[in-house]
Amino acid sequence: MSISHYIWAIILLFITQQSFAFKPFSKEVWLNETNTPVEVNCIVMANDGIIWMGTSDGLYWYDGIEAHYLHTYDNVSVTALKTTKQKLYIGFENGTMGTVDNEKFYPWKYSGKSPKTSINSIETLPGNTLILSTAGEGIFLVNHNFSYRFTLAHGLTDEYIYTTVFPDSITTLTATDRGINQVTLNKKDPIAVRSFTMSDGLSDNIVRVIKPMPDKCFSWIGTHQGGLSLYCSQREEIWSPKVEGGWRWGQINDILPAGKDTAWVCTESGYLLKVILKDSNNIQIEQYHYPGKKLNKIIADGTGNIWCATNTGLMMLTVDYISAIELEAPFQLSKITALACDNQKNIFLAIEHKLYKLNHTNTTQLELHGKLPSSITSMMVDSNGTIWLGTFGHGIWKRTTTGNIMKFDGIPILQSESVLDMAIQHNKLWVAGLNGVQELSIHHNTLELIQTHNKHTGIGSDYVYSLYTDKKNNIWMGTDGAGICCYHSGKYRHWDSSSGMVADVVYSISEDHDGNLWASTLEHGLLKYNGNNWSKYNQEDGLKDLNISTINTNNTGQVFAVHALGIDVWYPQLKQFRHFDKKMNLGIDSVSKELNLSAKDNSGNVYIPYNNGLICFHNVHTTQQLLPAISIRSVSAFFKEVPLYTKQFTHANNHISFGYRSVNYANPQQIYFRYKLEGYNDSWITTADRTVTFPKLPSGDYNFIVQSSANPLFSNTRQATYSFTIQRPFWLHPLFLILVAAITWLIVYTYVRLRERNFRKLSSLQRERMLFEYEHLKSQVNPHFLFNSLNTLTNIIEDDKEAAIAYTGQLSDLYRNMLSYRNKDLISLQEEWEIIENYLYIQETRFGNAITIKVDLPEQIMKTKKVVPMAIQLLVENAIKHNVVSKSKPLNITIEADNNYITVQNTYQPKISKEKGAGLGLSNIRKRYSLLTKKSVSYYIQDDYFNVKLPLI
Amino acid sequence: MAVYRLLVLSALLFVSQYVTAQTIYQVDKGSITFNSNAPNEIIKATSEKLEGVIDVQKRTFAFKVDIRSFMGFNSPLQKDHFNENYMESHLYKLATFSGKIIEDIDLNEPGIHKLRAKGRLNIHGVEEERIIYAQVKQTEKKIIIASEFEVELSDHNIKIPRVVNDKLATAVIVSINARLIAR
Repeated sequence: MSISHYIWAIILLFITQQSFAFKPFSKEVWLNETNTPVEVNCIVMANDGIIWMGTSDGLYWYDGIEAHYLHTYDNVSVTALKTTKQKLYIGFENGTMGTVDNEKFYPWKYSGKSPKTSINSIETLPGNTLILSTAGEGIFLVNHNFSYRFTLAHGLTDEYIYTTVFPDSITTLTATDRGINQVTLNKKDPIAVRSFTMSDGLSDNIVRVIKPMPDKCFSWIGTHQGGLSLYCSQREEIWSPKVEGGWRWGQINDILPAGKDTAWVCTESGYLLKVILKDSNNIQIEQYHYPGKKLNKIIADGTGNIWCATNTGLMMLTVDYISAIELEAPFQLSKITALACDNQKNIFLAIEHKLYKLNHTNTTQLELHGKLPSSITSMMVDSNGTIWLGTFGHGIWKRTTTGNIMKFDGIPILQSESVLDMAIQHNKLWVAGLNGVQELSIHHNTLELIQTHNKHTGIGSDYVYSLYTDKKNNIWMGTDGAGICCYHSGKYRHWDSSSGMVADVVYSISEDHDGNLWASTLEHGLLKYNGNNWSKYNQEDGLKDLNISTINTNNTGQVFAVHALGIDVWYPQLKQFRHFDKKMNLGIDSVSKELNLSAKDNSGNVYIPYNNGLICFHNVHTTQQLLPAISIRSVSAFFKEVPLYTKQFTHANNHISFGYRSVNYANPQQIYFRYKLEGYNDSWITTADRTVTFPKLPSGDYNFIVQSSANPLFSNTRQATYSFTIQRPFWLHPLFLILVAAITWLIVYTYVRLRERNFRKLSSLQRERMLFEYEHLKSQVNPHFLFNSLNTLTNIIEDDKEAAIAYTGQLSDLYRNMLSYRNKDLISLQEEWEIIENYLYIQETRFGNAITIKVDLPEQIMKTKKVVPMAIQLLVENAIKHNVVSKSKPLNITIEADNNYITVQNTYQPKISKEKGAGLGLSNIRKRYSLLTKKSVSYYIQDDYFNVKLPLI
Repeated sequence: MAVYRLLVLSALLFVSQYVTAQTIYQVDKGSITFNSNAPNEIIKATSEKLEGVIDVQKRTFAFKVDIRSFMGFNSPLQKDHFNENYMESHLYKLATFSGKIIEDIDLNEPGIHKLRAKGRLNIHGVEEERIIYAQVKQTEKKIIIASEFEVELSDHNIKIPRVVNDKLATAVIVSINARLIAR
């Protein structure tokens, strides 16, 4: 090795030391209560902000406050995790898989071949298909329905697969022990492989990680011992960019692309590297070393932090937005009195009466730059690099760029002045002290007093804590007792409590990037002046403390406020404060109480002292997600959890509880919640609880909204909603009510109709009966009948006296029966038979052999069946009345009955002259029957016989 | 002419067969030594019975050694302890290491290479995935391997009684020297 190599090595050592000084703040999260180390193999962040960790001890999750264990399998290490919108997939060291849904573990069942070795990574394809990269068994393409394994036989060059990635829509790359395989994973075709090894430009054959850059044009490749390589998917090319001094950070475990050309790399040897691609062949590296740690995997949380899975647990690193410059003695927070930056980013610190320089190339060592007779109270660096120093009791000094320290004599008022603050305005120096404000002009090596401004000239107070030159060359003065005074070309403008601005004591003033003027006050928080009016920021806006000693601003509009509890940073785009204090466990335990103690360099980075040195707030325009993410975790009905997709509850299941969670890694402890249940109560209810219960909800539609905010004003929130319905009981359902009404109406209507019909029927029956009776009586008193009967009687009196008596008895029985049954609607066949019997006797007696009557009525039917009274008698009478009855042509009448009908049949031999009233009787019977039964009365002529069928009832 | 052709053909066949035969190399002479450099005692033992093969074409290998063949302990008692208490060689007779060579190097070509052997190291019945660096020299159809690596006893579930805590290092250094010849 030549001497030049050694020189190079020394130079490199020096260069790396520079980045060494800026160190991310970090905190360690122990996964279990006993603080024993747990090796975290993999780490992912779910949609709701939860960090999931796969460890040698199983599965853990972290919500920014504490770590929780989720049981999977005993003694099986989790080696791979993958989140999708809905699910978390888990791969284990023994090849098994599982999913977590709503904090419950579900083992996965392979349908087909399953790996038996550690799953190194999980990727998802559309349709719930997973690509599993295994440690020695190739690639598995698995789904609920199939499982395919791709091995050497398919053309892979190695079966130990670290990861499978998709740099673009058509390319699939797998990282193996023998280089990268470009593959087509298709279950139908054999895998098509193109292999890239060291001979193709790869820096090492063992490729442990491939990560596409955000623009997808290039992919980063991390290897076992060769460091980084790059892959261009367009050109299908791999090359290894140069690193000065060669790769010396060990095995790459993970890469986190962070914007174009930048990536974070973590290594087995405990290095976190910020890698910047200078051009396609050169990379620059900033390194942060964590000795004794293995950094396994890294993720970003959206608030500027990187979370690192290590061999002992979880580690958070604040990269890029704030970092620490840790300083050794003589630095002591309580002794630092002034701070300033020159335009070369050198930082100057006044520690009591000594001036120190922190060289931008070596920010670990404080260089003594001079001593003054008393403590330095104020310091300014002008554009030439001259340092202006204000002292306690010894006036104004300056340190030239050549290193001479000299006092400005000759201005009596400044000779033994105690300086409170200074400001530079072009070639003027403004000095605030115990004797008011001196306006001085700078002439090479002398100062000349232009004017003294004090209580009498118009400031309103002799004590000015803060002097500030804004971009419009106004001089702003923060006074003790007279509020704020703005001086411009001889004119003073005032704002104090009498002019509506609440504060009279103003400690610090600064102008932000957008031209707003910010002032810190005693007991009244922050004030902002936008050119027209003042607005206030206090605890309701999220400010932690109202006594702000120092304000500074950066070039992106952020405002830094230092107070006893820590530092609050205002993000104007997000309208949100972010806090840095000891609760964050980053090591920021205390800050100085000195007024106006901060510095800004020419890039806009702001430096504020803390217990271990300086905090550097990098000038980063943030699009960070500082609003706490919120999600509804559980819904329960009567304390029994229901699936989150449940949207309908029965009327009896109306005791609804919600569990919600908010995760924010910026200020995890400080999250405010408020909720409302639309449809129940339309006002917001602020709460600290993470569950809420609504008992006895009436039926209806509801919308539950829960919001989280980082400030109690809820000026900027995120929300989660859950709509649901408590169903009406079925008896309150309008359709049901309509149905009930309709049925009731129908019943009443039918009843009324039936009743009406019955009445009508009854009345017509009565009318018919009366008509019938009338007709009948008319016919019975038919003089012919009586005449004939009496004639017959006369004839038989002479012949047979006994028979005449019987005949008379029958005749009278006939009339009695006719009278006794005529009022009834129905009489039994038996009773009817008595009438007919009498009648037939009379007629037989009259006609003798000219009429033959055959009766066949079974006893059973006679007793049980009923007929309309005198119907049969009428039929017989009709038969006699309308037909020829003579000895030569005898009339045969047959009366028969079955169960349903009684039939009266007679030989059809009608008389030539029709008797009057023919057919009247039959139609009368028909009407009467129709009122009583549906069975109809029928009559017909068949084979010279006239038949009438009456229904039996 | 035909005879000449036949001669050439058979010579070619012979050569090609000769070439394919050279893909497998077998250990001809191999030794394995371990060192335990504890504060109070240095233990060193060697076995000359290292066996193994390398498939040059597939770039895979397999090595094994019988635990009981280790010799050269400080005392016979120490050897007994080694076999019975720590290695339990009645249960776990062999230590094996098999796997693949990472570098795409043709070991048929003469030269000196530094390469990585990745595979599963099985000691005391416990397997561990390891990447072991080795120096490989190929000369005249011989391959000479030299390698040195560390074995953490806890990785292989080898328990050290508290009594001998300071007499036994938590990690031993293993060195291998082997000569392989084409089979």
